[in-house]
Amino acid sequence: MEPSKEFDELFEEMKEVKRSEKAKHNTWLALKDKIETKRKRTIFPAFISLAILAIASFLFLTFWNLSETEKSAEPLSNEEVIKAVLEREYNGPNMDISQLMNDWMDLQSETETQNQEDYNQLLESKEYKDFMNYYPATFGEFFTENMLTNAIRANLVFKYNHNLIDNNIEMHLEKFKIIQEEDHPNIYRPIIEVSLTNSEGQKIYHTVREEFIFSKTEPGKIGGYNVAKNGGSMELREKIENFDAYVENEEEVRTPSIDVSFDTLCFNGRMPNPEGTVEFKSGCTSDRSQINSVMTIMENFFVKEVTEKESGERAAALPEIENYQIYLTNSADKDKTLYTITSYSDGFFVFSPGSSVGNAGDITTEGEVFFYEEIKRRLDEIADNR
Amino acid sequence: MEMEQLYKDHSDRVYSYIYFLVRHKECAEDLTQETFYKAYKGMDSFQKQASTATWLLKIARNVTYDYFRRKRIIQFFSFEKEHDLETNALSLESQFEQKEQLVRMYDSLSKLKKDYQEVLLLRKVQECSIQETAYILGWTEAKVKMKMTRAFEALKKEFHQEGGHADGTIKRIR
Repeated sequence: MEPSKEFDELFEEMKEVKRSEKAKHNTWLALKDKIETKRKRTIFPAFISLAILAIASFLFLTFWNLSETEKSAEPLSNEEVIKAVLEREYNGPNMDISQLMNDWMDLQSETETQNQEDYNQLLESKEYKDFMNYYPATFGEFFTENMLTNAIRANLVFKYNHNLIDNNIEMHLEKFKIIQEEDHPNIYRPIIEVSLTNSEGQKIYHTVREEFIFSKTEPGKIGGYNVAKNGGSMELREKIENFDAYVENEEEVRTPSIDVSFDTLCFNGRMPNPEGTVEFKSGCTSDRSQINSVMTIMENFFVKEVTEKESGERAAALPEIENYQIYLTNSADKDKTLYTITSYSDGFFVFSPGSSVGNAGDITTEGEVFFYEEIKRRLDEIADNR
Repeated sequence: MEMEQLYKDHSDRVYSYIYFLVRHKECAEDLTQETFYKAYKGMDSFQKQASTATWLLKIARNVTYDYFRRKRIIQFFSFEKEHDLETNALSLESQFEQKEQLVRMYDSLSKLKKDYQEVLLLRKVQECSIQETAYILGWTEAKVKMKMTRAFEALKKEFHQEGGHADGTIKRIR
């Protein structure tokens, strides 16, 4: 009998889970109560968001000219500008902006305003001015005027601050790699690794991608700043909000390091197509810049040891799916493979240390398709049979 | 969707899923409540990339695993009587064999690796499609298929190993 049918009867029985109506109703009442409490608490942050939007335009009219005086500083390279923005955005929470915002909101709550004139008086307050000054003081020298307005309106700066504070999580910029687009050199797409740490010191990691477009009319300033589509931003917010759920899954996860000396990279690409035929690509290079262009992508991965069994399962699936096998060797001894790296189309990676390295078992990670596509593109560029 | 309606439509399924993992009624109710609370908080970010039920099951899984982590529980599918009052009701003589088979099923499932347990629970008990299962577990559909095949093989092996008891009281299902 087919295994899938053999157990159907038992699985059917397992579906019968009894739940008392009373317990169900009580759970609803408890949930309702919790939601109502939450609603009361969220009125305040919602008001903050509206207030930010309302005052964004005023920000530039009032304070933007101040930044003109700061232009005499030594100009930063585009990479330095990106680094500065990332450091401000991905190290947090920033309690200063939070405090300034709260002070301004408190003032508005405590002060009764009957008309526009009363409100205009409030706009002259120290609380308001301090709060408004903070954005250009923090990001003003890196963005064009227009872009900073948009960044504030779209909540692109300090975008994780509320989440971090609400969930008592600290975020730290671990490392980043800036990739400049070849055809459009004013576009940069950094790959950013951040860590999140809770109050118990538990830490998880996440990778996000962003896009910086430097202004052509104002060189050295960012004229476009975007969160990359499917770049991991939503997932980062999800990890901050539900930190505990992710801790277990990322235990013992680390960034891979190729700790053997090698000078040659060879690869075989195997691409089955729907017609049932298979296309092959292969190549070898000892060009250090070509090798590095592939190997640096590995730095963006998190890896985790797996059992021999799991590794075997993945190996068994290889003939069915597109994959690239990368071999690292030394030119003096090409028969000896120091590392084998298998790159799958669904983002899986397997590092198989050669016997000379002395490590037992494989190391693997569940990566992102983006990285696989990047590796594939770079390997294709050095393929013999392009 | 109104929260009350969402709860009415889906809470039984969410409860049933969680109950299988924790085997404890009160705990399952608490985690069901937590699941819907998280759903309420995340409603705005729900992009309809999956059905509402699937989305809720994914949250339920995260919530339950968080609970396991906090309680240092690493195994589910247990069939321990002190955690499962309903099991006692099955001890009538006429239901003896049925109960034995269920016990053996739970025992077998509990010995499988976690990946296999999860995929079997979602596909065969919760009746999720391959696509839905992939979404909940964060896998590719190809991986779900591969894991299902292997999970069945492992279950069959484990179940029939269990069936080889010397007293012969446990019969194999045919």
